Amino acid sequence: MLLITLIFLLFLLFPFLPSIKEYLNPRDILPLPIDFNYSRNPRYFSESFKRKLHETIKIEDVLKALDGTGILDFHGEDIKIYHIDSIPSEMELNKIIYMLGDLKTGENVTIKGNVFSQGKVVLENNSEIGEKGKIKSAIGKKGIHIKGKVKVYGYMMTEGEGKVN
Amino acid sequence: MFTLNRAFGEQRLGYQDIIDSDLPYVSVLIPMHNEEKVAENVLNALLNTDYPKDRIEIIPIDDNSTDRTREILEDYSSKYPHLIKPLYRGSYLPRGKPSALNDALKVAEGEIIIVFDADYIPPKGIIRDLAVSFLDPEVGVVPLNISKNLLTRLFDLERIGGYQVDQQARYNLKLIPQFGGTVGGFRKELILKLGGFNPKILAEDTELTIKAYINGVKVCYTNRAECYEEAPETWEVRAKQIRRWSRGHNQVMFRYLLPLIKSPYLSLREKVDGVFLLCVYLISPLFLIGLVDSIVLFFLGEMQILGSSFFIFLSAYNTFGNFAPFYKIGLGALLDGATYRIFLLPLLLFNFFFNMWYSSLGFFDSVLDLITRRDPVWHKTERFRNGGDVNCCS
Repeated sequence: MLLITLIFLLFLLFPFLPSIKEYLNPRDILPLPIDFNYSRNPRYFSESFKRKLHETIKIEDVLKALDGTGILDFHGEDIKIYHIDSIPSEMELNKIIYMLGDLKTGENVTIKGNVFSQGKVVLENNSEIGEKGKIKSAIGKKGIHIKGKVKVYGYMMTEGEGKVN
Repeated sequence: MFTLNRAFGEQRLGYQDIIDSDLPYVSVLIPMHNEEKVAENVLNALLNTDYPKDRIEIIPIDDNSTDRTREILEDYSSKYPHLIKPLYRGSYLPRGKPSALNDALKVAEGEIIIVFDADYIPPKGIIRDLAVSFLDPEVGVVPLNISKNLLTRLFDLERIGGYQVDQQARYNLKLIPQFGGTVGGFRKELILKLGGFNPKILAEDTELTIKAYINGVKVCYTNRAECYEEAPETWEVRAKQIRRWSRGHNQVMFRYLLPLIKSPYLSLREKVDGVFLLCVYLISPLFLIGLVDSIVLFFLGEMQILGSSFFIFLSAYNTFGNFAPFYKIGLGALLDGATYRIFLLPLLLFNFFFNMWYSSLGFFDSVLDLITRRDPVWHKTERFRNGGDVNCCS
């Protein structure tokens, strides 16, 4: 009976052994770190995306890709090179869009990746950029023009004029 | 369910990352009663804020202190007259946090009111995070002095599970994240419309949450706004704190359970969650009575559940129901990057019985409040910090 009781107590004690060890020899006792000087930059994601594009993609690489002698790579994900200045209506793209000039979408266009244009971005009625639950950027360096009902799941940024009508 | 949602579900994002203009004028209220040990810390931290200084006022409320609190506030007020505007409440006024906040609301000029308890140490960017949320945000917190003893370390684990998992999951699932009272904000217009804080309720934070939802206003939880708070260092102080929380929470339950169920502004899932939330401190006395009842029945030979399907149900509930807080704390610790402190988790079993006992006493206090119609007296939680600067804000 005594042996059974001792075995029972041993099994009862077993789950508490790590606790007792940590209590007697504490290894994780400091408060969880908080950066008291952290100041949120609301433009962090769009600035970060723009910086990564500038760091990763050089104009000469873009030009090589445009004349068919090279391919662009952005962290393992292909970047589509367009020879056009507009995306036709009803088109759905699942890539990052990088434009040397202006970008104009037709109506009902869906772009699930980020959009970066060195020129202006014009989004026509019922266009969508990004998708629900995923943060994406729409950056038109020289301006952004939104026409009609447009959805952007994330951030829009421009150093030029932002216009909505 | 909350643990699974927090681990694998879609997390709701706030507006903090995309709004950087049109910041509202904010009044920061800090109720203080004998807070000489912590007053300088919270004021120094707030002076360090990145919020535009022309869009903010700080109103420490000296609630009839008998220590050096008033002297400290006068000193800061003379140094920063346009920013720190103390409110001094005399002994002739009713004491307590709700009354202090009501008086401060009369002089506050901010469109948004942010409330900090005096033992909190707000980081530089927290005012912006809260103000931008603009609804009724909640804050994730971590205790300051968890290294002191077993109690503070267990308190730390409870807070990790409560904020990192429970509150965020409630927010994700569009349920009812609770305004914590110790750190949070609300529209001044809203609280005036709701009639201010009720000085007869000890859990003014819970009351605000429930009143807001009953009137069609939502609460927004901001998990990424975090700061340190002080944990009670003695079991006696912790016991009083739990008893007060339970008493106040149950006062709100008695008063608002039916209005919540009847409110036309709440969805069915919000009503269900609201009922669970309001009854959370009712579980302890029920569990205690059940425990005593089971022991008595067992020795009377009346426990005929072994071998029946009910036993399987009970085991399943015990596995997934009673252990839910442990799952939450485990995941919370993982998300917070805590390491070996998670080994203390089994010791929370003893904490559970401690909490159950004092929560039950708080429940019986609230029942007596209801029957005798007596007004509860506000008891402040004792502070343990020794004053001076804390690393965060020196």
